[in-house]
Amino acid sequence: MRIKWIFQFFIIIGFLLLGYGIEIVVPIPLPASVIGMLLLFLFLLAGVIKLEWVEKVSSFHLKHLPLLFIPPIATLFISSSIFKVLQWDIMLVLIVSSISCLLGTAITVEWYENRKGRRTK
Amino acid sequence: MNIVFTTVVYILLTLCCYFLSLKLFYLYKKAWLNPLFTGSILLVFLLLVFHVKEETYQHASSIFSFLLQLAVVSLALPLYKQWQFLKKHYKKIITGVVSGTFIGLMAVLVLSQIFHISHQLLASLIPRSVTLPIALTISDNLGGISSMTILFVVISALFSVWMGPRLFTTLGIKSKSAKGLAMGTSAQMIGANTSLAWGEEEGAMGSVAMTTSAMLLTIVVPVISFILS
Repeated sequence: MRIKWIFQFFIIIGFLLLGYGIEIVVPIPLPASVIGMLLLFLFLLAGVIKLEWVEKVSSFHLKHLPLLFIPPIATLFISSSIFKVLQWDIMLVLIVSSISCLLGTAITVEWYENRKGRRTK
Repeated sequence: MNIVFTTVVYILLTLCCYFLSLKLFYLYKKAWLNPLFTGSILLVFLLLVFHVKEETYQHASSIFSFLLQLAVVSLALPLYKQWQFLKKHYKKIITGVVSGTFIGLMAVLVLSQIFHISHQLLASLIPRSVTLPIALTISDNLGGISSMTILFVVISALFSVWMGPRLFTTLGIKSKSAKGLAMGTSAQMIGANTSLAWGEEEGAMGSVAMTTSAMLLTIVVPVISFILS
């Protein structure tokens, strides 16, 4: 059982390393992790990698994703540069652009679905 | 103190904060008890109380940034599981992500003009909705400041995750695809993860939106830098 977990974990690491390798050889402006993701996706589609080979570790990993965001967030809030950003004009730009982006996407998609007349439930 | 010892202590401290907030979340089941928020607040509080230096903690927690990169690779799974569904809806996805990214970008550009925000800060603000590793590359190309970009990305994402569900309820947006795509476009990884908790369809839409918007902005950036100069 434990062997299975380690094996799955190494497949994921393998794809990340493959991403790093490709990033060095081919000048793509995408980070290694995204290249690795696209490759794993293609390999899954092609049937070279079976879903069961990676499913357990991946879903465990994604379930506890918030844990991985906590360290960078904590690092920012204990750093001194946080005070340079907490100015009202910059915060306003961030808030307004976040809302525009959220609503811009959501409303366009709803409009598109309504126009097509088939709402996904 | 021994460096290995401190590293282990900080890793354990981070894990404790997370699992404690997760336990709290399962116990009371309140949306505002999101482990991402409570865990971060608890950890920041402890780090400040014990006067931990930024560099020390950053160094100790580098294992988590490696695991985060692996998590990006793992996002291929929800994408694969929902592939038939995504293939059917690719027009909707592209329409949504493109318009959301452009509206967000326009908001940044217009407001920066109004507030006379410096070129360097503007360059750090532009990639604010894109997943961190890509945002850093974009900000670098435009002549922005990396530490600022990290901060903008995280603040936008936290705000979107906090505000998004409220906005959708207020405006009566019920479509699963609309919610997932909006979260992924605006809050990248954090948004994709939030939408994954809502359901498989939302999650797949969230991760596909994250990837699409990142690639879109990577392509559009040379054009923006041309206009800026």
